[in-house]
Amino acid sequence: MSTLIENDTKMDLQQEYSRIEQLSDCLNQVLKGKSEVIDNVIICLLSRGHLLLEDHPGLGKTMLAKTLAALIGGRFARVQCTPDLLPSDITGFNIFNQKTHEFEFREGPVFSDIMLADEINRATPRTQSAMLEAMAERQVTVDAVRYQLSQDYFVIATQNPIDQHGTYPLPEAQLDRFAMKLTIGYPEEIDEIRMLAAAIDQDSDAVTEREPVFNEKELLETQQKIAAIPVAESVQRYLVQIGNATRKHPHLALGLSPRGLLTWQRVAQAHAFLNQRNYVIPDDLLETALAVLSVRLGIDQSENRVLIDEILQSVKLPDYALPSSN
Amino acid sequence: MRVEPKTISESRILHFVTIAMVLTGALALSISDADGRYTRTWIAVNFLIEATVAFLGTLYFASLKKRNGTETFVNLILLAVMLASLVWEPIQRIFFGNGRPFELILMFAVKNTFLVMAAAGCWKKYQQFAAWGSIFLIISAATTYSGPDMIVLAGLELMLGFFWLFYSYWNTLRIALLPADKKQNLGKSLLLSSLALVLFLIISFSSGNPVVHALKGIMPSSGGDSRGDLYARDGLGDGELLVAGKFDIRSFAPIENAPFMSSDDPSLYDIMSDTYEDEGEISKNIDRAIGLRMQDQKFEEKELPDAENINRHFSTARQQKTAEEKSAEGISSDALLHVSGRTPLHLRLETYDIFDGVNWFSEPLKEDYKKSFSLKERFEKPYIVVNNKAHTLSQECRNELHVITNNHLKSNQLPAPLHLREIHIDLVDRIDLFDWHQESIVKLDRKELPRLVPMHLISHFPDRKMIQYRDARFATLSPQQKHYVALPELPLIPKIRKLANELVTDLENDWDRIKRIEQYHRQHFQHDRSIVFGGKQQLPLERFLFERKAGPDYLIASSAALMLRSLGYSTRLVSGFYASPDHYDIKSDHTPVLADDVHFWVEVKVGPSASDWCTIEPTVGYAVLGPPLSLYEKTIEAFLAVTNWLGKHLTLSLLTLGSIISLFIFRYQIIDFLVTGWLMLYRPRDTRRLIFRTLWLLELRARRQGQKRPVTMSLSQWLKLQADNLAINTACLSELAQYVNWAAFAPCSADKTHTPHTEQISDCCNRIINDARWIKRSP
Repeated sequence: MSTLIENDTKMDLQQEYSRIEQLSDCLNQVLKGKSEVIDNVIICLLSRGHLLLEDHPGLGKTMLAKTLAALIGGRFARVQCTPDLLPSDITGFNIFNQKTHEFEFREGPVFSDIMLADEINRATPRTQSAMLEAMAERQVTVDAVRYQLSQDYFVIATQNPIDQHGTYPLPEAQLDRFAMKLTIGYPEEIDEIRMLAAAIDQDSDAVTEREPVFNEKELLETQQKIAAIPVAESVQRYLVQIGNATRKHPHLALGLSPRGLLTWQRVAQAHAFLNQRNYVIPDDLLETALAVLSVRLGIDQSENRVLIDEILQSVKLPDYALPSSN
Repeated sequence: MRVEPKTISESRILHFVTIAMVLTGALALSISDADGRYTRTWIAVNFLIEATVAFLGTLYFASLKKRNGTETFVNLILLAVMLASLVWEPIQRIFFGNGRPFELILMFAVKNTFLVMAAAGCWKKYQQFAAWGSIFLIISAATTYSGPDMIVLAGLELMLGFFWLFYSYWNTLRIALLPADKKQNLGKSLLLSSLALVLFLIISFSSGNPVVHALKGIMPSSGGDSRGDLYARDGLGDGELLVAGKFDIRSFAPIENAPFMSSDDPSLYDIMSDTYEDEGEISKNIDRAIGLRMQDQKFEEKELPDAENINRHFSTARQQKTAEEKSAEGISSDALLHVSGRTPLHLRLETYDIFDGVNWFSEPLKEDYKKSFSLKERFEKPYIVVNNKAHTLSQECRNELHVITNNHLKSNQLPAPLHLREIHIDLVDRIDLFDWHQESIVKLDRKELPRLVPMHLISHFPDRKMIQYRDARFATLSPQQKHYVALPELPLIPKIRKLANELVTDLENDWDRIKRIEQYHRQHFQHDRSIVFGGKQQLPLERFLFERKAGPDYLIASSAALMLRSLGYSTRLVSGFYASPDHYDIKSDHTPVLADDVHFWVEVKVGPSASDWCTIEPTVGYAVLGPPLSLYEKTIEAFLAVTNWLGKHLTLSLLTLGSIISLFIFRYQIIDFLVTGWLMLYRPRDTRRLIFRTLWLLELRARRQGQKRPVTMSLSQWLKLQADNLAINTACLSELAQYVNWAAFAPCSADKTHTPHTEQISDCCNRIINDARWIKRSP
């Protein structure tokens, strides 16, 4: 895998960096003053993870998802989750064709590049579980037939933290499929003024109808390059030690799973790439810790930051010394 | 990343059990090594040090493992510990004068290595080595020592060993991760350990004298033959030479043979002749007489020495030997006696009561003198109680033990301290074997003292500072025996009396007067045995006292005795041996008494009882043994000694102290200066090394300011926090953080595309080295 990096030319990497910069600029125009959230969204996309947005209505979650879909040149699908939503409404179903006297498969919204599952916690656990296979393996099985999804398949799910009536909290198994949980939060005053100014005499669809920055192949290549970024053993040891600390923490019922560690490593690689580095450093883990750990520690959102800080404070960073392999 | 499965080495219980096993083995080895040489306190302190080292080592190795430390580093530490144990021995031999035999040096090196291995037990292989090594230690210790404490330790080791084996096996089953071949090894281990334990049990408990069976022919340096190895210990081949041993008579020689061996060993008279030259002649023109009143003269004449008591007088007139005579082969240079116990010690052999101006004569024992010995048992051993009347010099006086071993002194008088209370010779429980030689000197009813037999003497050593009659008039305390105050009628005596009176004229107190006379002699008379007064014109004492002011100890003692008698105090001259602390042999814990240690001193009666005699030492360079010092007194003495030394070397001490304080206060500045200079002069070629040394310097400066980077904070975060406190721009700090991260975490394969420019790195490091200093903020 390292040959991929070695054979790569600096010019190629510059192109990648330039595309990511464009992507970031466009998203920043849509969601003003939220560059940190946008960076995390891009990291999530590049690490081939899925994103859970937990925030109030009207903060731009759908807009963000639609714009992102447009920028990566992919198909966008939206599912409004309700208690009566069935699994087949998501995965698709077989329907009998009277003319041909055969069953035909009608694709559900999972057959898209970016799927927005709005208010996912309103769907029943049965329906939520229908997405497990799609999110983890990028495939669905309907009536014993397996259908491959898009390689760019990226789920952005939202859930509303206030209105908890008639909701079904996501099970741990499903939460573990998400790479990150983010909150967008209200914009700053100055950003809201800018947003209002930009909305004058502008078609609301215009922002989401942009020229793609990536085509399907380019995004996949970038994701593969990121997956090949090497991680020093000391950093991996640090990652495992944090994982152990979450498992031993008295206030946590469930610690970080090995899948969680793999996801976090990939996120850290993407973070390193976003910072134009082709090696991972402990800061990559520290800066993505809140987003990655929030989704899988099963704790209340308000306690997240304190608890995660406490866990990080309990683990010693790797020494800044010559790598032993040298 | 490969996450290691949980193995037995990671079990804390097993780790602690391993440490306990090695500590038990180390304790057993210490007890075996001590074998009466060192006290229990020493062993306990030694054990505590070892336990502390093991504890600290455990913490260190655990943190080392956490920090991804390599086993190579642990191996280096083990090697260093083993080498240090070996290197320590020559240092100990050169500077402390004691040492251990070869096999014990090796055993201690191995023990220290196992101790470190046990501390490094968080690594599986070291834990296993240490556990097996501890069994080796205890087997080695048990083969050389088989006391009850060893049995307890062996039992403890046995229990711990079995627990370790079973627990590790149980743990292996529980985690069910070990491959099949390791399980087979475990079976072998169990079998081998059982065999080792059975062997250990057989060796340790079945043999009466395990050392002979276990080590004979295996350890060539073992045994008491110091000719083979100076530091050899007792055990094998004993018998010919004297070895350390205070309580076991069998370690010296069979008692049946010892008292009856005939030899050419020197008598006390021979030793005196050899030490003080032969007796000289005195001119007949010189008056000499024993100054007695008429009514006493008849008795004294009757009691004057005859041929049977030839060695019971001593002449102060001596003549120089010729060179040939001095170099002739005569008395062996080996010690006459060996003394175990506190020194300096005055061992009395003869008292002299009558002086005629030249010769001292002993008062013969009165025929009606009561033979007052009794027998009592102490710890199931026979002790002869010397029932001469106990002294009343001080209220509380503790018994103190000295062990005297006659090497080759031909005498049946028992060399003993003044206030002898009890005598113990193992297996001797007959009081008729003991008799009085003189009023306060015991003799054995044999031709001579047994050779190489430890004779235990329990005595009192009253504290001269606490003498309870110090304010009393000694002359009125008891009826005086005339011969103790008798002076010869010589022209010399008035001169002596005058001098003595002049010396004490300002003193009222008798005790103070006695001390003044003693002090006068110590201050004004030089001790020189080479000076011999054999002239025929004058009495030796007169020439010594008023002309030379230097001479042998018998003249100094005679002078003191005459001065004290002239003041009216009962005084007697005593001859015997002086066990000097300068001769103490740390290795054998004995003080040898040589022929040169024959000595004369004075005893003065300072109380009402017949035994209230007190040793007065008028000769400079000799000291009188006081009671043992308490811990407080020892501490004060040590403190005074240190203070005295510091006072004598005040300039040096102040300079050293000042330097140490300055070094401590300015330690960071000094290190900073040295490191900066070093980095400026010697720039590492390797870019990564340059980056890390720069970071090290920066962190050193931070520590000086109390701004040490927390171990859970990344360098970038820390530098952002410190940016305002540093006299350097933030960009340079960010650059450094970037380079450090690259140097620490970027693999070599990434260098080809992302190696920062060496010039940039060098430039950044230069700026940090020169400018990155903390700005001191006002409080």
